[in-house]
Amino acid sequence: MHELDPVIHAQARLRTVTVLDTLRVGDRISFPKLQGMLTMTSGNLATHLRKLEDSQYVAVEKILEGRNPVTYVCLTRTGRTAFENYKSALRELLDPARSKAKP
Amino acid sequence: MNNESTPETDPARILDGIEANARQTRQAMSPNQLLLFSLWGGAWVIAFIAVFFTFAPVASPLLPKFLGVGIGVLAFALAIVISALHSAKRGSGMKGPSMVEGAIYGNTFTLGIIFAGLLGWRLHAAGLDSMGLLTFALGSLCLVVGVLVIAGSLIFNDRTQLIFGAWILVIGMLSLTVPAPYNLLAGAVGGVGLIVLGLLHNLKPALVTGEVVEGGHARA
Repeated sequence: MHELDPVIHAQARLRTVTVLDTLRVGDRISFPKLQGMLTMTSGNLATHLRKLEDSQYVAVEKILEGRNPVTYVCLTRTGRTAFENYKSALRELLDPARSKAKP
Repeated sequence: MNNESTPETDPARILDGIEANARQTRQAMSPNQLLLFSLWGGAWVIAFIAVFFTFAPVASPLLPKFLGVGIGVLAFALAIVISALHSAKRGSGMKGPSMVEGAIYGNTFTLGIIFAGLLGWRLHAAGLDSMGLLTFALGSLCLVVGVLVIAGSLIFNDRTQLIFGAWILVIGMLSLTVPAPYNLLAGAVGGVGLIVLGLLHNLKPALVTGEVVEGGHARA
């Protein structure tokens, strides 16, 4: 049985990863837009993103748009895999027999 | 799912929360279908009815040409501006391949409509009369929109777009079965269909939403 990934399992980070997982591979979302969707304070979101970035689950990129620096965020391949594993682990907890039957 | 620090412990509730959160996110990042279908449906109904009454009744048309055509142009212009602003707002704060594809797809509509307009102009200059031009205008509009929307439904694996595109092609074919100016009434019926599609999208989503190909690449 998979262990539930503690980096993702915290509720604020789970919501963050869920939102980022809806983006297509290669797409990025700006920090203010992500913050608006999650209705978190910027400090709170920055803290959780740092934790996810430390685990290499998200990539954070700062770019200049005109004269303004804008931060864009996306889920990395490692992050997507970790999120898939997290959901698999939950399904396994719900139905262990079915999960064992899977290759 | 709330924002408290205590993690949820029930796996079923966590999975339900993930699903609900993902659905809300997709809705928040996609254009409001009810708004767009109502807007464009309304524009089609108003524009085609207005232009129709510049030709009917034949003995004494209800509207002068400049007024009927003006109403039609205004209805379409409003729909274009509002939908462009709405789509830009929903897509703001995003970067990446989806945005590039969306821009190419959106601009192809504009190019297709301009192409059809120029072709109609040339045909008119070469002697096509007003009635022939009406037939060409609605037929070519439906062809461009219908084909592009169906192509979009496959790109984005979106059943609503498939129904939308197929409906527009049916309306285009219907418009070709009746002589001008009565073909314009087919355009008005097409507009009513778009409004109904928008309402079904919100009230009975199981009927008109989902994937075109189950398990296909969902890219929306």
